[in-house]
Amino acid sequence: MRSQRATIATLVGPAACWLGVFMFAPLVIILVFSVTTRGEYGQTIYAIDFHHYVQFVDRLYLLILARSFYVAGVTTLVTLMIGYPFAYYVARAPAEKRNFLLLLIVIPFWTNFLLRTYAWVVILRAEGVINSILTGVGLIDKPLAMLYNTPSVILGSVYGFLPFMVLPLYTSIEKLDWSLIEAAFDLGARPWQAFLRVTLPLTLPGIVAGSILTFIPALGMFVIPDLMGGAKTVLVGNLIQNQFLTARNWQFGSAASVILMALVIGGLLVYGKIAGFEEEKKR
Amino acid sequence: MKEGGRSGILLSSYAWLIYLFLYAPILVLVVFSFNTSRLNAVWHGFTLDWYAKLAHDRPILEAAQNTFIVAIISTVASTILGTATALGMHRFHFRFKRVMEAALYVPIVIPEIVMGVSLLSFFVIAGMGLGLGTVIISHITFSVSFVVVTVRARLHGFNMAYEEAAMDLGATPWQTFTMVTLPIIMPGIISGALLAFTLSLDDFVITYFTVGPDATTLPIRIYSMVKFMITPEINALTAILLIATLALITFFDRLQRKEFMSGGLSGGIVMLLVAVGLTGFLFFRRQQQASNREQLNIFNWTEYMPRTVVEEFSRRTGIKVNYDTYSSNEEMLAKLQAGASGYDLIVASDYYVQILVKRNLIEQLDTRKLHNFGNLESDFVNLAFDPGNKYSVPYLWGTAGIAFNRDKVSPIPRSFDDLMHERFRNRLVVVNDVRAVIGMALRSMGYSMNETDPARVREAGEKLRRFMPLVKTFDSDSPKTLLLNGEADAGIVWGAEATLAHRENPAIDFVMPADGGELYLDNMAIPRGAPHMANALTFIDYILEPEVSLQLSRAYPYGNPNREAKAIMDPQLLNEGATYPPPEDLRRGEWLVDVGEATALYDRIWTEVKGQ
Repeated sequence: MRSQRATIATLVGPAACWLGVFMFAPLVIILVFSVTTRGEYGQTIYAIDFHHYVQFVDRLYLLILARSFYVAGVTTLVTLMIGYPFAYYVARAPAEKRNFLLLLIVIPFWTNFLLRTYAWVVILRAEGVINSILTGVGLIDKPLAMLYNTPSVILGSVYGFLPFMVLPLYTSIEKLDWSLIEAAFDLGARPWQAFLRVTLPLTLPGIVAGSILTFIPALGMFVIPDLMGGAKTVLVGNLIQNQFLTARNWQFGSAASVILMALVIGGLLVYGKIAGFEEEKKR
Repeated sequence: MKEGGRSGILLSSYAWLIYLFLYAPILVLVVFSFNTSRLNAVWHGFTLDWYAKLAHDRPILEAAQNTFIVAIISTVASTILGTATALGMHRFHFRFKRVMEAALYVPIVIPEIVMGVSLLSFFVIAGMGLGLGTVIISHITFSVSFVVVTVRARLHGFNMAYEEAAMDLGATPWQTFTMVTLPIIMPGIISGALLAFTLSLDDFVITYFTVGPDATTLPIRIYSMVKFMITPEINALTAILLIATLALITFFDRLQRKEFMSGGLSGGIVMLLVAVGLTGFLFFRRQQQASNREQLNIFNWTEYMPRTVVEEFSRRTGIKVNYDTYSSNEEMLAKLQAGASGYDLIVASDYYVQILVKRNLIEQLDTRKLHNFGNLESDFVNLAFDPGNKYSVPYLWGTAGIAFNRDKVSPIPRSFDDLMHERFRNRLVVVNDVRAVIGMALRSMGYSMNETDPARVREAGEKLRRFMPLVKTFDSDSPKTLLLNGEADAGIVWGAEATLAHRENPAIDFVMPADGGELYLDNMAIPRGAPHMANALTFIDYILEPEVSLQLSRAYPYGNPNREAKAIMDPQLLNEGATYPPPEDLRRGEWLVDVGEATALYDRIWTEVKGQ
C-alpha cells in the first residue's frame, strides 16, 4: 500500500526527523561523555572508561535512586487523587465553559515557577499567611511547622504537576460516552460500582498519560525539594545537577542520566507491551 | 445521568477549592507587587512605585518579549508536529513504531540539565550560532512529546466509524479530517498546546544553555536575580500579565459564545491567529531594535552591575552593550566549556579563574594597557589563583561567615563550634555550597579550607553529619530572607546577604568565624575567542575608574578592591561590618583554590551528608 506509507511518512516523518536530529544527536553526545575520562580540572579526556557506571552501583547512589522513585510515586498518586475529581468537574461542565475552565487551570503556571514557589514559602512559613490567620483567630497559639519537611515537598510538587495530570485526564473524561454509565445505572449498579467498572476503565488512557507526565518529571525534580524541603536530602535530580555544576564531573553525571533514562524508558516500553498485549486480547 | 443535587454541589465546591489552591500563591505575588520593601519577604506598606519602575526597565521588558516569541512559535510548531505524530501512531502500525515510542519518551525523561548541556554541545559542533533560534528549536524538542502523549490519550479508543461514515457520504480525506477528526480530537490538541506553552514560558535550565547573547528570556532574568533579590518589579510584571491574560480569555470566551461557533475548533483557530499576529508584531519590534553598532557582550552575575554604569559606557564610547547574566560560577563555566559562547567579558570567582586558565578558556590580558590598574589595593592583586594578574582583573570581593539575630541569640556564636549547639536545633540557615560548608567545618578542626587529604575531608564530613539536625534549610540564593522572616535564628551566609539583612533589621549581625571564614574575589576576564576583545579591555579599564567603581559599591554591598574608589566612598558604606569586616578578622579568612581531583571527594562527602 503505497498511499498508506505516504500517509505515515507525512504524519510521523517530520517529528521523527526532528527528534532524530535534535534529540538523537545530543543523546549520542551524552553516551560518549559517559564513557570518557574526567581530567583533573573537570575537562573531558577522550579515553574510554566505564568506571562511572560501576561507580553508580553503590549503596549511597542506589538509595538516592530508590528515594527519588518513592517521592515521585507518592507525588503522582496524590496528584492523581486530587486531580481526577477536578478534571471530572471540568469535563462535565457545560461545553461552552470548558475551554475557559481549562485555561483557568494553566494560567497560574504562566507565572514564573520560582516566584510561585517563593510565594508558597510566604504562605506556609512560621510567620506566614496561614499561621497568622490561625493564630489571629485563636485556633493555635504556636505556629505550625509547615515548611522544610516532607509534606511541604509533596504539597509543592503536587501543585507544580497538577496541570500535567489534569489536562490528559480531562481529554479522556471529556470524551466519555455517558450513555454507558446510564446503562450501568439502569442495570442496577451503585454509583461506586459504575465508577469502578465503567468510568475508571474508560478513562484509563488519561490516567496513564497524566501519570507518565507527572511521574517522570517528578523523578528528576530538585528545585522544589531544595526550596520547600530545605535542600537537606539529595534526589537523583540533585545528584545529576551537581555533577554537571559543582562537581564538574560531566562523565559521572552523564552515566547517571543514562542509567536513569534506561530504567524509565525500559519500564515504559515493558508497560506498553503488556498494555498493548491486553488490548490485542480483547479484540 | 443528571448531576444535580448534593453530589453536584459537592463536586463544584471541591473544584473551586482546587482553583483557590492554584491561585493562592499568585494572589500573594500580586499583593507583594504593592509592597514598599525591596525584599519579597515582609509586608511594609503600600506603593505603586514598582509599576512605574517596570515601565522603564528595558532589559526586563525585552526579556518578556523574547519569552513570548519563543513560547508562541514553539507551541504552534510542536502542536502541529505532535498532533500529526499522534494521529500517525494511533492509526498505523509501522516497523519502527517502538523506536519512535522510545524516542518520544526521551525528552520527557532526560534530566533538563543533560538536555541543555547536550543540545549546547550539539549546536556548537553543528556550527549553529546561539540565539533565539536555538532556544526555539530546543523548546520544540521537549514540547513535542508532551503534545503527543496528551493527544494520544484523546485518540485512544477513537471510533474510526465516524471517519468512514464521512467518507461514505462523499467527503474528501481533507474534509473528513477538518470536519470530523479535528473537532473530535480538538480538546486533546488544546490541552497539549496549553502544556507546551506552559513548559516553554517557564523553562530555565534548557534555555539557559541554548541561549546566546542578546536573547535573554524572563525565567533566566528572574533566576539570576535570585542571588541578590527578586524585586517586586517582577511581581508587578506578573500581575500585569495575569490581568491581561484573564481579560483576553474572558473576551474570547464571550465572543465565542455569542457567535455560536463550535467550541473547541473555533477557540483553537482564534488562539492560533492571535498567536501568529502577536509573534509577528514582537519579531518586527525586535528586528527594529537590532543595530549594527560596535558591540560588547558581557556575561555577569545579575544584580552585580548597575544599569547606569553600562549605559554611561555606551554613551561615552558608542559601543552597544549586551548584558546577560548567570547565578553561579558553575553555570558560567558549563557554558564556556561547551564552546563558542559569543561573550567578550565574564566575571569569575578566584578559583574559577584558576580552572578557566588551566582549561584554556580565557585569554591573557596585558594589565600594562590598563591605565587604571594601579587603583587596585595591593591586597587584591597578584593572588595565588592568578599570579601577576595575567588573566584577570579584580571586580568585587566578599566573605562567608556567621550571621545571627541579636534579639534571639545569646551568647553570640563566634565560631563553627559555637553553632554546633543544641539551642540551634532546626534554627540555622546555611548556604547550599559544598566548598563553603565543608571548608568551614575543616577550619574548625584546624585544617585548611582547601584540604585535599581524604582522611581530613572525611573527618569534616563526620562533623557535618552531626551538624545536619541543626540546619533548618540550605539556601544559597537568599539566606537573608529566613533571618528576616524569623524562620532562622542564625546561620552561615555570605557577608553581602548579612549586610542587606542588617539594613532591613539592625538586630541581624555578622562575624567572621574565629577559626576562619571564606574570602572570595570576583574577577573580570575575557573568554577565549571573544569577538570584541578590544572593547572588553576598554570596559575593564572603565570599571577601574574610581567614580565608576564607586557606583558599584553604592548599588551593591560587596567589598570594593579599588583603593581610589574607597577614598571617595560614603563613610556609612565603609562602616558596614558585614561588607568590610575588621582587618584582623579578614586575616583569619582564607581564599579558596581549586582542589583538583579532590572535587569528586567533596561531592561524595556532601552527597553522603545529605543523602543518609
